[in-house]
Amino acid sequence: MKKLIGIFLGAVLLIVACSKSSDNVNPGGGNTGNTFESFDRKGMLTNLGNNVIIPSFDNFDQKTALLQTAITTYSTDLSNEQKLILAQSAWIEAIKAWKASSVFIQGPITDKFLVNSIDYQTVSYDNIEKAITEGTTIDNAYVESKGATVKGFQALEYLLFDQNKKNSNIIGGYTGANGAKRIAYLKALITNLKEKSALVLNAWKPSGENYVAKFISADGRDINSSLGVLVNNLIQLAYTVRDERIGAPYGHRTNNVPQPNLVDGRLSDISADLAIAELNSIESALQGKTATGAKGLGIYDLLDKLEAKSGSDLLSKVLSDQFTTVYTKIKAIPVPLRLAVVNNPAQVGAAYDEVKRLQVKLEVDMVNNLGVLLTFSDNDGD
Amino acid sequence: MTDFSDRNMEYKTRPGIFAEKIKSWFSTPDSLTDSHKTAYSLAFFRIVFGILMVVAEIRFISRDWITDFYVKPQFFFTFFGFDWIHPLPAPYIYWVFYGLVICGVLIALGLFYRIAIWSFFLGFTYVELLDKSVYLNHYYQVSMLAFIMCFLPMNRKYSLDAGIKAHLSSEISFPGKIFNFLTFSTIKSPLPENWMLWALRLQVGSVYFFGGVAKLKYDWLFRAQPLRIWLAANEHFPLIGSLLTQTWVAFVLSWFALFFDLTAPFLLSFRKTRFYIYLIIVIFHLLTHYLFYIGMFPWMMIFTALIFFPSDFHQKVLRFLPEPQTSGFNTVRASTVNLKWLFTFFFLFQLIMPFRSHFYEGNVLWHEQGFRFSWNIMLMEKNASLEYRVKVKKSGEEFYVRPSEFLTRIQARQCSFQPDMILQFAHYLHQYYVENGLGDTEIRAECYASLNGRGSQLLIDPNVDLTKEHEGFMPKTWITKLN
Repeated sequence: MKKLIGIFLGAVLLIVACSKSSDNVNPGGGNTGNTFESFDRKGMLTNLGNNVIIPSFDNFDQKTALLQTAITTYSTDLSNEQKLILAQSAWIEAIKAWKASSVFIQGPITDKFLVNSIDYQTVSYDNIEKAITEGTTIDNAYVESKGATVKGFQALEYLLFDQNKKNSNIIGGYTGANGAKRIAYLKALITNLKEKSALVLNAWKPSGENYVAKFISADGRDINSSLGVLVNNLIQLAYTVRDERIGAPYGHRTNNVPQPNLVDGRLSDISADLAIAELNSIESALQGKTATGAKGLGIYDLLDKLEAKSGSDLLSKVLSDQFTTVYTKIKAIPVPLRLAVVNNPAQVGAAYDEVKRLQVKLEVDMVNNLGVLLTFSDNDGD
Repeated sequence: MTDFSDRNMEYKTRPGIFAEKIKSWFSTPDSLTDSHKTAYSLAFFRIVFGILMVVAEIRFISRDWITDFYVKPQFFFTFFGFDWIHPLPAPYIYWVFYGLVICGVLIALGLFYRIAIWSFFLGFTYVELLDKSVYLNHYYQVSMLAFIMCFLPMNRKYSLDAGIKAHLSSEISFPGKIFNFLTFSTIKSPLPENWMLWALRLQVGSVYFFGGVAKLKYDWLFRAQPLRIWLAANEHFPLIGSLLTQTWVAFVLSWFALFFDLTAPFLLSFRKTRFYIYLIIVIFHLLTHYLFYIGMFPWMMIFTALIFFPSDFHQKVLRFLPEPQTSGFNTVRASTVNLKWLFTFFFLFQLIMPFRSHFYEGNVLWHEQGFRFSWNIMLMEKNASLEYRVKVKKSGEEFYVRPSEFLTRIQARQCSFQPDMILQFAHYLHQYYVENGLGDTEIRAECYASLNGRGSQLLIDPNVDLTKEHEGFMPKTWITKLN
């Protein structure tokens, strides 16, 4: 027994000595400058909550407010193309702001079932036209009573953009037969969306429903922990970008027959920008900062603390490099994506492959190092 | 009861006597006094086991896992050779679990013991064989313990069987015969013998010992993995949270767990060390309970390890319970030679099973051939991203499929990194497309996996058409080598 204890203590000392020296050789570096002596997950959640998520939704809310202003301005001067163009660019800014925060759907957005009324991909143009002609009192309440196929960003896009860039077609709609109803519907749509953006922001803010406090306190590693849910959503979004945003229009599901109509932003032709914004939102959680914000603790720091590697490089660096590659490849696709899937399949395919590489690295390499449980909140042993 | 309280069971565990025991394995039965004492230990274990199982099954039912695991899935990952076992449709599958609860109660009470333990063993093993996705080492342990208990006279003391029997006037009356059969108390049933305790101890101890042997792997010893990842994820733990993120702590705990597992059964066997190692067992399992989400496992180990204590201890604990009036022992002794042979083969089998992975080349954590039923407990953090590339032979058309479109979340996750399940699901897909009119297909897996913090790499050769590969024990050549 004494011998055993002796051997055990000896082994422990040896290992402690070894691991200490290896700590000195490789002080956990990474792309963060190693400013965090002792990492804490709660600190990361605090930073993500206060300095990434809330500012992201704040930006979303502000950009939506600007869109509302632009639409109101346009509504008073319907044949003014300049004002329509301002409304269009305001829409682009607003949807980008949404996409850039779209990985943070946990909590309020999920609990209040808001995703579909904000950004529903299978919006129906026929249903929108029907909703306009059938409406008697067209206001926010009317929009609220309707299903996801006729509202949100995608419906707004339909009422603001012409696929052939002929603004006269859009203006014609507002000044034509059903023009009054049409503009009422447009105004109701943005009122409804603004209500949602305010709802989300308020739900997160400490001065509102203070979900951020809950977010910070759920610092465990089970499936309902903040990190667990975030990681799940993050992987899901990476897969969505790969499969829905690029793969589906590319023809990946249809034996390489391109499906141009399946692109996101199909009328505004900003598909690539939207995909990049979605990837940005993933990156903001990893980096612990918004595009314009200051650097704080993020998932990269956590990986660095664990000295997580991919090959001989730190995993955080590999991931960060992969994001850069993905952005380059997506930007190399000639705009718009809906034409590129037919005319430039090689470029689209190259971007697809890189996004897939990124998605695998997030889903496999990253998750493997985080030790969060993604299938169960509890299980029954091992 | 007092006639043997002055004697201590301890002498039996001294090494010299232990060797003698082995020598007399097939010859000398215990004295009647010893038999009485053993009966208390068996009763103690029976009650503990029964209660644990009642709790475990009620827990399982209350979390609605029956629905999640056995009702919702449209496909089940059967074990090789057991593909004839299917889940009963709802609501009957629920009844199986209610039945297991009732069996647990009967086992604890010692009522109709023989039929209760056999039903429990068969029912539990049936459920365990339904789907690989929910394979757990401790379920296997439950089956093995229940199997052993099927053959042992564990209802001689502190059981309603013994109480009722005392009231049945004649053993040759018809109700008496039926009762005797049901309760495993016919004249021919064996008397409790000390080796029976060692059978239980061997089974309980093997979880520790083989669990320790399984830890003798590079990742565990020299990378402190997966503990390093798991401990760091518990940073929110009060007081010691920040310690858990330290590399050296992961190393200390890895090596501690190794020595603990390898020595626990032996230290439990010796009187001098028994109490201290048991204290460590309790602390160790409580720690794992709080750090990892491993449900019933720690509790099962904490309570079943009590079988290593002497019969006097079991008897003292049992005194807190009312003992039904019993008729005492039959003095007619049934031979236990056959039983001894049975258990000899059983434990030989138990000895070989954990080492079968060595017949296969490479890291067992990667290829998972011989991984299950080998006490590979808490050895890996493994993740994967799995997709199938399906090629329709008729049209040459190709498309990708994610298993999550067909499987429940837990199944999809388990299937993603376990090669034999990846193959099984490929075969299922093949069959699915035949039945849905697509005809014959070639199915290849694109599976990237990460093991214990390593970077992701392909787990399955993406060029191999899995529809042409067979299940079985032959080495799976289509699994890649871990770099």
